[in-house]
Amino acid sequence: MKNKKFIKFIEFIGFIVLKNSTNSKNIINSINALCFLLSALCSLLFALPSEAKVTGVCSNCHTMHNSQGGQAMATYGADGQPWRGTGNPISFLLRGTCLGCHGMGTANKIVALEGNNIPQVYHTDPSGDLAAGNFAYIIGTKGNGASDRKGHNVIDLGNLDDFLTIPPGQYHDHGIRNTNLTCAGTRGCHGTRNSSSTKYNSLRGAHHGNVEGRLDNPTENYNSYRFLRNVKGLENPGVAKWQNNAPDSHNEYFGATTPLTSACGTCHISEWVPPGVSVMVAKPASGTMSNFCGTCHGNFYTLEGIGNDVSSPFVRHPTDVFLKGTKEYAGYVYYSVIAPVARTTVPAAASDIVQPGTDVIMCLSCHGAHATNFEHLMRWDYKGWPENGQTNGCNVCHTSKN
Amino acid sequence: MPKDKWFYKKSRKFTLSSKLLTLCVMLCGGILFCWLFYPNIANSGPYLNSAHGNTIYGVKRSATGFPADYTQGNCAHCHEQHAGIGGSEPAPNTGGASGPDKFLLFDENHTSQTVNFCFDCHTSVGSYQSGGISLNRSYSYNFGGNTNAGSYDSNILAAFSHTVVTGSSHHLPDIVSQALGKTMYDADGVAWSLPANINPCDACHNPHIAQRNKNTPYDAAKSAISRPSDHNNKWGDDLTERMNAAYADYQAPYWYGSTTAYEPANNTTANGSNLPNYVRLCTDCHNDLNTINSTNPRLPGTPRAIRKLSWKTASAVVTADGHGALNGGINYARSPYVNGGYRTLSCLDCHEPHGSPTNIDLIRSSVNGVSISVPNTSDASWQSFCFSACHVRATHNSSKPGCAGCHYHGGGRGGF
Repeated sequence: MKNKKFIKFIEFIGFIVLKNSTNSKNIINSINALCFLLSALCSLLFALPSEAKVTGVCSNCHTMHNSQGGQAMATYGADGQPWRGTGNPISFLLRGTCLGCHGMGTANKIVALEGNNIPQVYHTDPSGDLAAGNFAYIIGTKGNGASDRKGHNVIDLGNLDDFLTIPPGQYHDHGIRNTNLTCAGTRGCHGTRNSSSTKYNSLRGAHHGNVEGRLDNPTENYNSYRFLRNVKGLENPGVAKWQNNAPDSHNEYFGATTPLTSACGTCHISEWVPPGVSVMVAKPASGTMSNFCGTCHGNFYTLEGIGNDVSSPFVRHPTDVFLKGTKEYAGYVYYSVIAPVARTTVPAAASDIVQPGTDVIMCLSCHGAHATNFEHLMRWDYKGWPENGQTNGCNVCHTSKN
Repeated sequence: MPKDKWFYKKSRKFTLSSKLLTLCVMLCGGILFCWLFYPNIANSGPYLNSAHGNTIYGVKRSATGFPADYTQGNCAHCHEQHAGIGGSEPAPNTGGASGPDKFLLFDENHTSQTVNFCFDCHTSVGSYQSGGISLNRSYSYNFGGNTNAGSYDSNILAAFSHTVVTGSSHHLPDIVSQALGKTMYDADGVAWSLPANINPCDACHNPHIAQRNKNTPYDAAKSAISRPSDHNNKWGDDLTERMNAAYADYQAPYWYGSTTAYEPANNTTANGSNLPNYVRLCTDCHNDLNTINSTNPRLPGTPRAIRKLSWKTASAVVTADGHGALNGGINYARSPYVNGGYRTLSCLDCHEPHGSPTNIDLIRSSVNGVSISVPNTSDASWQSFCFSACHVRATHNSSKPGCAGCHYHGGGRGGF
């Protein structure tokens, strides 16, 4: 039925184009109709997930023998930082570690490398950061001073967290320590997280099969939001790729209206791995961003953790509950990249509209993921308010508390 | 050429658009000026204008484990978003305060008459407020002028602690059981309700908008109270919410020890134009419609229902009070009241809102500029109240059943 309607619509546009093109006085109508048709087709295409597999020459990322003209090739990474390749070979013939490629330390948040655009999580770009933040704030090479409180101190930074030794709010001890937290794998966030996955093999195939755009059916790492296994979302496909740039140009996060309980299945799901082994993998059962954060910070996420209910009074700030449609919350109607909300359905495109009563509070409403310029990975200078005279992100939702 | 004609001629030379442009520039300049020189005022909302949100005297928690660099007025001084900060829970973190608490508060919201989140700061002993709080004295002190030792409470917890031997306190457990979460009616019969699980102090105060209200200097535009039926708005800050707006016959009592200055500002204003309409505040609960079963241990005859009352000219349930809008004419009046006059009193002319250190029924330690003593229900106590403060005994025979035998809220003798 829908196909028939769509065909009739195309026929109608075609009719207008042909009819008006024969008459020079109406040629402008023909052009308008053609433009409209093209716009509609473009919108349709953007709504679909787009394949963004790594392109370009293999040698952008790999080196066969870690040698070229007598020089070592595995040397990616920011100058002077411990993750810069020293010339020793790296697994999977890579030219850099995770941070080696994604933390080159340049003044660009996206590094163009012979056909590839590589998102940077450690850089000094003054124009801003990618959506998850910038590890440079921890080191102090960007922002208002180094602090271990500003981000997730992955050991790859070579700067262990001096304040936290375990994830705050952990529901049970999952072995993550300040001495082993890393980018991916068993003690990381990205890729497959099971008991035996290493940093690199946990992301096997992810870059080469990468799918971008609307990711609402994550089955593997490559089609999960930012390689966060089983997380849904929309990766900003626009000009400001991977960025929360403006109310109408940002990632869209997936959320739910009720957080899951502290049952095992909330964070642990069995997967069959070839040739036929069942492996327990840590991943968010609901596919929401907050559920994902809760796999480490469980007490901050679960239904029990917020007070066994999705209505006030909460005992911890809730996530994966909808922003109330009443009282002060009804005032949050225009999307804010300072305190973004999640959607209960992954949209096809970023929207600048917030619907109180429908849209959802999430961990990332207040926090960054990698690091921000503020303590506790806050998206704004929380502890400095109100004396700093700056915007308090709390007021984005709590509109009467300004 | 006259100046006005000269201006007229000059002004005609400018087009409408240039005039509008000039106007816009002036307006923008004004906004810029305000933003530069009054940044806080320009940006402040209701919370930042409140006592708790103030950057000079607002909330500032001083507790073991709490970071010292959270600025004054910050949310974290009361609320812990994840039941901890930086991976651990600052003090208080033992007993009931251990672990997460409702409304993300750093301690349990409400436990009993004297164990309440608000008292963690509003106390003179062990206050978590940096530097303590020294302004929360009794109404009789702050707005009545009675600074005699023993006549006032020096903090809010003290005012709510008169539940055993002497004095009296507004009974918080009764607010929890009788008002919160219930359908209540204001004096006009309009239904209202508050959530069942909020702090009982919130019945009259909204902590996010309540302002500091003290007498040095007095500022009638600042209000610490919100009507129970209108929790999200301050009450008394607007001119229409003052006593004189509702009762043209209001006469303020004397400031303590004075016959020339009046409450609440210790000045010559006596018509209630500087006083919140406390009648409207109190009668949201205490009226002729709501039945309030009190368990207050200091209420004579407790447990029992508090007497219903009407401050209006008539009531279908009780006899309207003579101290209210009913115009019965004052008998045996003491100055500034006059015999035969018609006066409507404010509840706080006679009662403390939180507690009275010496008297039953929340009766103030001083009324109309003089000290009184009402420690019990004896006639001597009532005579101290009635005949010292507002009435002369004159020829009135009070020996029959005593003052309170005839005169009480909603009583058959017109209350009074």
